[in-house]
Amino acid sequence: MFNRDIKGAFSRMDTKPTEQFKHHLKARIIPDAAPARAFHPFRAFTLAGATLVLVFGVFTFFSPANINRALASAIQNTFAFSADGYHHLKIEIGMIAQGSKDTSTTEVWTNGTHAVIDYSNPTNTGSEYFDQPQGVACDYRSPVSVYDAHEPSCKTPEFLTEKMINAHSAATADMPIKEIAIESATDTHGDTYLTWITHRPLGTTLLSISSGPYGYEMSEFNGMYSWQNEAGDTVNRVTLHSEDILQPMFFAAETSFLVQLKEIAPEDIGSAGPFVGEALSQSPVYLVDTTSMTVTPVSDEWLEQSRKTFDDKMFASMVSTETIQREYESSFQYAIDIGNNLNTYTRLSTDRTTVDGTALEVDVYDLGNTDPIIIDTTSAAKAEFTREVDTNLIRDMKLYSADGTAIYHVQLQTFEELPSAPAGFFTKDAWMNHVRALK
Amino acid sequence: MPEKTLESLYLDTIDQVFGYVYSRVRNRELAEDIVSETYVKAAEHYDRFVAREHASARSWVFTIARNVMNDHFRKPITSQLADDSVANAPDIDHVVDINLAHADVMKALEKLPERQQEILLLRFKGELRNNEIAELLDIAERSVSAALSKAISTLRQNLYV
Repeated sequence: MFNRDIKGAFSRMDTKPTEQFKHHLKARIIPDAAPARAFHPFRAFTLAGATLVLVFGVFTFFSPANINRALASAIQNTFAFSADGYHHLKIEIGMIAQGSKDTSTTEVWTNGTHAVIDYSNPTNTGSEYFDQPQGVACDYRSPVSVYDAHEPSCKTPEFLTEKMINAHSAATADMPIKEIAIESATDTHGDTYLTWITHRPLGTTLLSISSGPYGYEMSEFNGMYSWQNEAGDTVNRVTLHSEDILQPMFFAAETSFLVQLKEIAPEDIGSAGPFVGEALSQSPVYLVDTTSMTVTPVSDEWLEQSRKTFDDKMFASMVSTETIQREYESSFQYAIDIGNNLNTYTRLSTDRTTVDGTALEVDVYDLGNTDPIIIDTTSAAKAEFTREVDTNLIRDMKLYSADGTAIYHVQLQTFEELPSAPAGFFTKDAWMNHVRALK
Repeated sequence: MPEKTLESLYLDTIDQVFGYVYSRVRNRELAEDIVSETYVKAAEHYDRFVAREHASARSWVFTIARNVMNDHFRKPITSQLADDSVANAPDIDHVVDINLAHADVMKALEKLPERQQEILLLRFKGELRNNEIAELLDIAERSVSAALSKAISTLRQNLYV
């Protein structure tokens, strides 16, 4: 049934742009729509000259040969890790560039000393590639010159150095992947990025990698990118963002995590939507040990046995003395249940949350269940909320259980406009005091 | 011609995008800034977008608009403008185009969860289809339908009861 009354209510809202605004904006974005300028011989001459120079320059710099050299350069350095950070910078530049889902081979340009990168805001996902693309020229010969993905300028690479994990593995007989590399980096905003890189011989089925403590396929990838290296191999790179991966769960006690390979159609590589992959029969799950930098196939039996271990370790690592413990309640049980699934669990961490000091509401529409979870922090009988908090402030909303006790904690984002915003675990009182201070 | 296509996209979406943004930021001046930036970005990258054959142009523009808005709200709070509908000392030029119905709906909207507000505005002000909203928000279409249904029910109650 069409909601005519609601539509009517919205239509009565005067939210139309003024004709003047529309006209000016149109003239701004569509040059042809601007009033014609009078012909001026000198201007025409200058314009023609500038155009000629520009065309020549573009043709020279962005010629196919240069493109190939640029890509080859990036590929050559992909696995050339070094201690001085020199090559890391190149890798991370490439990795951030993969934050988009665009498969254009023109994403990374280089003339041997500078890389010009179109990048997207990596705090978002989806087609935001077009959100904040910026051409940024950085001298990547110097380890102190790399751009911050959040700023359209070259910055020191401190955001790349907090966590860097490299893991390599030789090909296995049943999974002829030549190499797997896993990288992780945390930027200055605390966002974590993980990147998988696989090599497979050209002409074979391309692979994507999904992950999860129980081998679940990730619901989405932030970006995937493929190219051919000089040896003719197809190189795939998948980048995931921390919002898609609840890190403690993913890392399973922060020393290891699991990846599982999925088969995807070549035409899906780089598509805008989530990758739809068919699980490979006999697809192994790999345990990536971040301390020994090894990647090892694991058996189903091992996975099953490890399930409880992962849970225990996760809880042990996450439970804080400042978290709030409340009585177990049925509505929360559902959150706990779905929280055991990596995909849905991570969804909870990013969905809208409301709080009024006594209750938290978590929308779970992404989970196929539209009823919000009401978490009463004072009484199992009371489940009301009246006040909404700017959800941009909520960085992590984590729900989990241990021994039948419901626990939650909320962590605030520390954006620039909130210099006093405390980070870390919050008690309910601390959280509400901060919320009140913001209002 | 790309310009012609961009122009068509602009003409087809400007009212909806502005309506959506204005409803979200509730300040006409700020809405104009955000919408301007949205279309400037769209124009800058339109060629690249065209290369993506299967992408929805409307969803793409709304995605840009949402991200521009998100970027705005990450700026210092002091730089943000007052809400047109609640400002203590409203600019008369702004007030004249805010009628009672606008205020009523806004008031009712504010009682809804953030995500439901967004879905409602995308649906009724942005005039996006459910599948486009799903694409835009990166959620399942059935989730959009369900959230929309719930939001409408609550909104109707807030408006007419």
